[in-house]
Amino acid sequence: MEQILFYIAFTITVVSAASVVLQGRVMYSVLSLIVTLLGVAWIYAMLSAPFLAIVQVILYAGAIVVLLLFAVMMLKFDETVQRRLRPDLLGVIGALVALVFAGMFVSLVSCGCFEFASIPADYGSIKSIGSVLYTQYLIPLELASVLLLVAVVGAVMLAGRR
Amino acid sequence: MQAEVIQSLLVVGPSHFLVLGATLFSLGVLGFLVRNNIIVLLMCIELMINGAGITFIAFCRQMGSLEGQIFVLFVMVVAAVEIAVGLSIVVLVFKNRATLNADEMEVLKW
Repeated sequence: MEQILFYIAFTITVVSAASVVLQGRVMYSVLSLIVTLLGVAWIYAMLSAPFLAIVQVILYAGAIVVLLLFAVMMLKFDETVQRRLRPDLLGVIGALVALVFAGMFVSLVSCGCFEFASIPADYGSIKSIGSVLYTQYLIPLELASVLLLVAVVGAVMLAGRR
Repeated sequence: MQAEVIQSLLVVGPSHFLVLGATLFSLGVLGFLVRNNIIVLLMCIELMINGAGITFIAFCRQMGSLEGQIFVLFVMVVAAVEIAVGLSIVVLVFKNRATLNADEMEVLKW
């Protein structure tokens, strides 16, 4: 069961990520990116990180993609000059990379040198993440909020300039 | 030997997820090299960040620690910041030069 779920998620994620790269039109790339990000959220859920899966859906597939969609739809740019794909060259490189990855996959998987550790029942739950985040990583958390504030001010400054 | 390989392909371990992370990362790199639309380049950065995130989570699940998940959380915050600032720069550049083609933006190139 688990391997079926994994291979479905693998296929969806990789195919849609390839579609992000290879689509000619930017709009289709953004829509493929949504599928990729949802696939990554699925992978996070499979790796017993449910909180991160939720944050991935809300923050990435929600906020960031909406921002990208706004930019794509607001700017009237020329789609026809945006292509630099060389299909012949791309095929050769793609075949080589696929070969390397197939070798890597078989060797990594068949060596069996990685095993999942046994984990407590509440591993990755919101409670356990929160208790680490608000004690041990409190200062980085505050710095992240300052970074967000600076980014908001900076984005308004940049885009709102006359 | 072959039966062992097939068996290890069927039992999902950390290496499966590591391969997926590496694949996502290299697809992002490929897109960064091949495309010239700035918005698509930003999306390829997102792909690379997600590949690295999967690697983080796979390793922290393998070791049974929570630090990797905290790290990916911070990386998501930084990615959101990067997209916000990056897109505002894109809008600004588009206002000034009326193009999103990265090849035509060579003011800073020496």
